[in-house]
Amino acid sequence: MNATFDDCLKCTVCTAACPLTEVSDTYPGPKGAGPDTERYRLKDSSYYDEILAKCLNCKRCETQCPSGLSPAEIIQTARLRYDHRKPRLRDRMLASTDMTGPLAVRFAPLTNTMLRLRPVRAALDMALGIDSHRNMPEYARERFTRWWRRSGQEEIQARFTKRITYFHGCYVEYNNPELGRDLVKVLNALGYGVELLEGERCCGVAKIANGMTDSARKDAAHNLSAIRASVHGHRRPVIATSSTCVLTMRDEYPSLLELDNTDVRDSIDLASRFICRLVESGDVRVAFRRGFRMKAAYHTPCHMARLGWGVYTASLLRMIPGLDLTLLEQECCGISGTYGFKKENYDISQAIGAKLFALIEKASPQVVVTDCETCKWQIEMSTGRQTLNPISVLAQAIDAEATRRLNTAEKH
Amino acid sequence: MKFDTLIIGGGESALTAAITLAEAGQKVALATHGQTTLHFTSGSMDLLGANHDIGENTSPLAAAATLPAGHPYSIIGAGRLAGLADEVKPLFARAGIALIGEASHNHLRLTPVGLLRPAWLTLEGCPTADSPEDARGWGHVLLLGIEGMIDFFPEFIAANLKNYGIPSTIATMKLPASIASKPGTSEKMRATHIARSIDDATVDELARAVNAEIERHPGIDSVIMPAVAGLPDHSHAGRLRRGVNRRLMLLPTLPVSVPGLCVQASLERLLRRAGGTVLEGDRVVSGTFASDRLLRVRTRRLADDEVEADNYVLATGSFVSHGLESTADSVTEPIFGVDVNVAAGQGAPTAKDFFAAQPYMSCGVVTDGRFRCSLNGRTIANLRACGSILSGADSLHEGSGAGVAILTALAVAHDILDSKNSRK
Repeated sequence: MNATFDDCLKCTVCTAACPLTEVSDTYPGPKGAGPDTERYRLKDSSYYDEILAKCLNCKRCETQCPSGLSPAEIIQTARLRYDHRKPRLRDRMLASTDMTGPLAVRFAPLTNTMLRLRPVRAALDMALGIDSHRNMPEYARERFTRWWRRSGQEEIQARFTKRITYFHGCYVEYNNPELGRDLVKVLNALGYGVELLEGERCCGVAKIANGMTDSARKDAAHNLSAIRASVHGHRRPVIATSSTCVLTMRDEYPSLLELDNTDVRDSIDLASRFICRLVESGDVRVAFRRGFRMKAAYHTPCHMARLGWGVYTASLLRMIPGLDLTLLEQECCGISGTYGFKKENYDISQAIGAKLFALIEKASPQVVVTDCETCKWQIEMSTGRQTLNPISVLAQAIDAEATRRLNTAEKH
Repeated sequence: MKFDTLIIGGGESALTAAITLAEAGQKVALATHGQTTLHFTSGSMDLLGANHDIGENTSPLAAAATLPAGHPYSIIGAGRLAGLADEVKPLFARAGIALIGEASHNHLRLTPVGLLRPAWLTLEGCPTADSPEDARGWGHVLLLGIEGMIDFFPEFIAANLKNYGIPSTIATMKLPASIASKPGTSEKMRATHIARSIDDATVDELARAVNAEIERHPGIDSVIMPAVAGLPDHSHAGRLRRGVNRRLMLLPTLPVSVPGLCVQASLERLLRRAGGTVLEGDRVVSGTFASDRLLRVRTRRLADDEVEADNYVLATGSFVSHGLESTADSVTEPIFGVDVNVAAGQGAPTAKDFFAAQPYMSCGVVTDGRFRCSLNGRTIANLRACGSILSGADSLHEGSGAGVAILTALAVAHDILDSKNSRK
């Protein structure tokens, strides 16, 4: 089923779809960087070209390829295999969310203020190459897991007979614990309890993107054994709220980190898909708040498109009465994780996103909805519009108490 | 997930069926595992054009009535073809695409290398004529290339036009700075890159730059330039033509062509507007059957969440799109393994003369009079096929690719709607 570079017809569909090729004068495009040159690299690794590191790994080429190839995977694998440059300090900092996060949260008010100051941003720009135009993500004052313990969630959640395991990811842990609380609120109302993944580590996407493969593989192996304990031991699926964490754990663990996950892959799910399927199958019922009104536009993150799951978030949002929803045409936002934070990529990142920003302006929503945290940062910075995860929109829209009654009454 | 109809495929045929059903109020999903052969189209559609010889089949509808019994047009029935053909222009117009041409007689289109070939419908603004004499009405043509663009071959075009008695002059223009300064347009430009760099403001500048070239070549009656305008919809092409002081014709380039992308994107937008769901980048991998019905299908991305529908339409295309797969001694339909008419390819699957009719081209899935597929000889009541996956047509030799794709899709969509209404 998995096509190799030999199956490429040279049709150039991927190059026409590549958001980077569209704005870059030097990038050869997915066909050129992937299947065309892979055969040379196999012969002699000196054919590897550093320009390949410019690939955003947005995977739009893979969604568009008529022949079933994965050009982005060919490019990323080549980068991991042949790019022996040591990651710069800046790249290690951006990628090590598990090191910078705890520190930043501890001093959150100070960190957030500092990161907004021009001189600090100029210094980051000069010393590290983090572009000074870029708004840095805000850090939370309290980590998600700290809230979890403080509010006695372990005990509360244990009261539910049906439970899932939540992979909250670095973003919920350090930047947006509110989203984690929203998921707990929604799932509890639907009659599901939430557990945390034992000793969760970063999914690894940022480390993979920044050449820290060994460290990423260690984290991934650790996560996989915890996922196995949840899936096989407790019969609990693992649910995440970030489309990129899900894609990484399902698809990039085997393809890029060469870790076999076949026994648990189908049990790694995205919250909006999990909930959408529960509602559509009639297993749970939802009561919505009467007065809820929101004008929203949904942006499908590239990785969501690659998962093929945009349809679930769209269906979930369409269930909400009072939500005036525009489905935005599919365009890459340009940030691609840590990529757009780097000084050398800032202009390209914004040029790629320009079409999406224009579509958002045209739709003129109160809120943009998207499943990816870095898309959120990019959209908020570039359009000034509040951007929410679909689960947070759902949490605002449901009548939690009435929903809870609907789902407990059904048991009798 | 549950739908009224699931369309498997994403090209011209799949989109036509999906739009027709969605506009009639059905809950429709379309599963497509990547972009389609629409990306390679020339901006024209053929009904029965006999690509190899100008003048043959000038009346495609009349010629279609003489085809053998197994041909998709014969299954539709000569009596119904004209009515279905009449639906096509309005459908494309709703998608924002103006077409010229009639099913009653072919017109001629100009190919990317400058040959006149018969066609049924062509995107407005591409070079077309009723006959070679009519094409001489273009007068003296300025063949206007763009510096740095790799997909336009004015010397070929000039030589071919000369054979038709059409004089031409070759010139190359620079893109206006506002377009050329956009990153991605510097070297080895393709038409799609330029088209994406053009917006409402710069399209007018491009028109002015073309007018400046016309000034430099007195005696020019018309201009042919590569189709570099027309994304994300057809409007920029029209605006460019209106802004140019002579008759401007936009010639589709080699793949990936702007008109092809434009048609694909416009039809997809129309489908979404009609409430259709597109399962993009997904591939149907298998189905579960019970007696004479397809109950549900499994897709690669939705995995354990199988898709259920009342009706299914198989529009996955022919060999190039992997709708059909071949080995040295067999042809199969890879998703469901529905019956394939290998008989048409029996004996030698290929003819020695490369340009002759190729027997393997007529291979495809076997259907009944309502385009319903069969599995091991048993008709599957709710699985229909349309487009180039069907057996009985040699689209290259006949020049029937788009006609079979679109007209069988319309026939299948109407059959689904009619059978639903009669059951009520």
